[in-house]
Amino acid sequence: MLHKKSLYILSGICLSFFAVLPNILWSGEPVPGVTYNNSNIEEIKDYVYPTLYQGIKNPTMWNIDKFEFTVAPHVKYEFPKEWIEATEKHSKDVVIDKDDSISNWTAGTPFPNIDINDPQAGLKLAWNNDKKWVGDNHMNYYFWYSMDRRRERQDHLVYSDWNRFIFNGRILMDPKPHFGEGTDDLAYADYCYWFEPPDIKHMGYLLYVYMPKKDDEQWAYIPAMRRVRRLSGAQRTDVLHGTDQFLDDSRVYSGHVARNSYKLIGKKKMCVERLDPRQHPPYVGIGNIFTTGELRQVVDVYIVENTPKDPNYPYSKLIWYIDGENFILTASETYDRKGAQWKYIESGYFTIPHQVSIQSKLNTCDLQRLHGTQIVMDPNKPILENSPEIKVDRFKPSFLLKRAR
Amino acid sequence: MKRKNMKRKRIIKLSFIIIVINIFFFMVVRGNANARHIELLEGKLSLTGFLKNQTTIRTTDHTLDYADAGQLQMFRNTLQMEQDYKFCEGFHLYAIERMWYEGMWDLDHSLDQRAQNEMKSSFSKGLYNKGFTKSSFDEFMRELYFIIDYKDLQLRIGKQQVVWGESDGLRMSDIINPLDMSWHYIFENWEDIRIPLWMMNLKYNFPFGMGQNLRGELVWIPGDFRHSIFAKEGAPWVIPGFVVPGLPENLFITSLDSSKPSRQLRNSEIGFRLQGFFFNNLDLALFVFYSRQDGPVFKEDWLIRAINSGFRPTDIYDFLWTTKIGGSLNFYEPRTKVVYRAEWAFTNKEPYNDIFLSKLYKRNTFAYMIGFDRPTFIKPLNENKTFFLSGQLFQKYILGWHDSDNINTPDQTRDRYSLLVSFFISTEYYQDTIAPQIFLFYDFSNNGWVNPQIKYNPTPSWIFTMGAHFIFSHNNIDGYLGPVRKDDEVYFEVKYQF
Repeated sequence: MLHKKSLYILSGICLSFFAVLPNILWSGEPVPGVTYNNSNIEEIKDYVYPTLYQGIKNPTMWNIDKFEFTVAPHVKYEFPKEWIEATEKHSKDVVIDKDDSISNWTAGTPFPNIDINDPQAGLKLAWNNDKKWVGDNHMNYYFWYSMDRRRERQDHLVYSDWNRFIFNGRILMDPKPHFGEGTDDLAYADYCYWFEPPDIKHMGYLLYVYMPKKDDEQWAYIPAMRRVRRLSGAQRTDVLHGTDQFLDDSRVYSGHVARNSYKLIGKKKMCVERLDPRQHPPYVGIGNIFTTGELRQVVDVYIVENTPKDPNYPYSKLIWYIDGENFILTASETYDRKGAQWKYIESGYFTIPHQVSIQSKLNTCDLQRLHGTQIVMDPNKPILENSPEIKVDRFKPSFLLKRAR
Repeated sequence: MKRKNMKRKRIIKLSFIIIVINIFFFMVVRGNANARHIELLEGKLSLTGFLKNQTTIRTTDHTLDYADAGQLQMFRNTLQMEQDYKFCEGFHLYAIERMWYEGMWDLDHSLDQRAQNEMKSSFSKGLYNKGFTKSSFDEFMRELYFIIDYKDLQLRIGKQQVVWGESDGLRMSDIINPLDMSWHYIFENWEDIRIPLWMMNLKYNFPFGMGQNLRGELVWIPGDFRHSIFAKEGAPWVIPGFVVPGLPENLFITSLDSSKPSRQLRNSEIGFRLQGFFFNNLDLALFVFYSRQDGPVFKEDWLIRAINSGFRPTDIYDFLWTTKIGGSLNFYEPRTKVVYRAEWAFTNKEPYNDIFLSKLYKRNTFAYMIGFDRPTFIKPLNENKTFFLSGQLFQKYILGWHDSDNINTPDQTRDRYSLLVSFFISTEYYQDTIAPQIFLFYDFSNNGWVNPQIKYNPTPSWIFTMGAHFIFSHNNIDGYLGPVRKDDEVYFEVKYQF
């Protein structure tokens, strides 16, 4: 029989053990339901993108009073069954060419199984991101805020819709997997119409992105000229209308995969932004060069170093963070030609019916000029995905004139 | 010399005052870029518009001594409003109203005052004719048309502008709407000086496939003929050739209206265009347009008739029918990263007078343009943004030429061909808030035009622009710029848009 004294001591030890158990079990891991800011971000430093960590640790640097995010319970992303079937059927045929482009891709994830020891793992992840599942078509509306940290002001506000139509790799809508009608070499098309600001109201923009080895095609309806003008593909690294983004920066990176070299650095759990702005709108503050108040989930992330092959490309290096469940590129740290960090670009996604990942926001911070562009989805407007309302006619140059004024 | 120095000082003084006023506006324009267009009726009605002041100062004396260097050439204030009303999906009404007031005659009484009766404001014609007349409404209601979408068809019916072609600043396919050259010649954005017409514009997308994007367009202008508009005597931009001492004032300007064809269906103009992608993304368009020339020609032996009739206005001009057949194309070449564009037009029986303005000839003509666009990085000058480079070469041939005809060509060279080149370069700095550009134009009949400009756009609502037009020609007759060779100016513009 134990002494009373011994019982007390044993109880104390047990209680202490259970008190510290959470810290032991979750030591350093983000806790669902907890909001992290500069007072406690140190606890989960290893789970946060380095540049984001620096920003939260020193919020005044980005002119944000309350730079924080909340960890949400992890909901594993599952591809729709049609995508899984297409992956199983077609991924074995995909080959990497000598120039790092791919051949024989039809639909689905090109490289579903990534071996971290594979020297081509980084390249394969880049292709998985390029061919990610975003629906056979979708449409939504975005605000584009352009913020100046130094002057603590908002420079521009742009409001547009954004439409995408997939021509190859279709899995839900007929015709599939190829749309046909002479579009065998066309990967997808984007169409965008500007409602604000007044000087570009009624401007329309159309982009054709082809399968590897062919330059994009672009057109714009210029309201002041009252006609459609064809644009040059040389504008991919040109800053877009007063923002901090190139065309290549859209969706974190939308340039040509084969124009870079890739190296997989590692894989680890990180806090990835998965945010439905309809329930949890991010906060956009005047003069803030990043949004704040998002929801993040702890997800396996691949870290890839991307080196552009073109010595004249504006970036000398990019560090990518690719969501290991849906292969979406969620963040990128870019470096200029002198090797100094230049931009931090991060995207948030959320999932809607058919497991389509919709971009809820895209933050681009120019860390050298302390200027930021925040593209935030309008939560009050409908989202269309895999919709018969999004007709292919919308993605023809003639449609630019149809909506013209 | 003393007078020249005084004029120079006056230019500098006035420019300085205007720059200071603009700087004042820069300083007080604060706040964040939250300008949004106005939406009413649950989003069915969208309203935008702008308020603009354009101030220009002459840097040379007027050819006809209407004004001196250093005096105002323009002080135009414009309010333009735009509405888009959605009745239902596929059915819209779109309208633009424009009101303007030209203040230079009120600000400077030493300017020639003769033209202000009809050129002082958008309501001048109405006020002059004692009331808000049809012509006042026509000037006020700039565009007004319905847009009806039905499957692959779109119909736009009402008063509107339609622009065809690939050229910038050249009239080859862009000939459907005439130009109002009375208040700033051709030195305005053409969207602001094209004269909208009452017409029907029908577009159809052939359901042939994504790759071709084949579409057709029909334009029918049922009798609403307008001629190009020129400045009246006393106004800065008058064409000197229209001013003949001893003849009634503005005879050659007012006669244009008198000679205008009547508004009847049989005076309809009609055009058709077919466009599509061919040969791996070559965007090709072919068109035909049957219309009257917007610019007049003198009737055969008009002078004899006019003398006999006491210069009855209807004896002077004709607006003759022509058929123009042509096309345009553009394509993107990936190795050079250049967009190439071209345009061509064959005109059947284009009318010309001889140099004595007594005979009338009709000759077939052929014109073409080739051009290129290329955004190019020039890193030492701009690290973040490309320079947009755009060049054009234009040639026109008069076929069936005989030297003995002494044809009076528009460029006055009395040569069967004309040759023009243009070049444009622009870029942006500081998040696209500062946009410098320069436009160069040269007509090989020895006249040309240089237009440097800088635009400052601190918020989406405010735009400040400063620039100059330098025009040169060896006389005031030759070429498109000869008549305005002494109308060089510096200009300032403040625009508030909502």
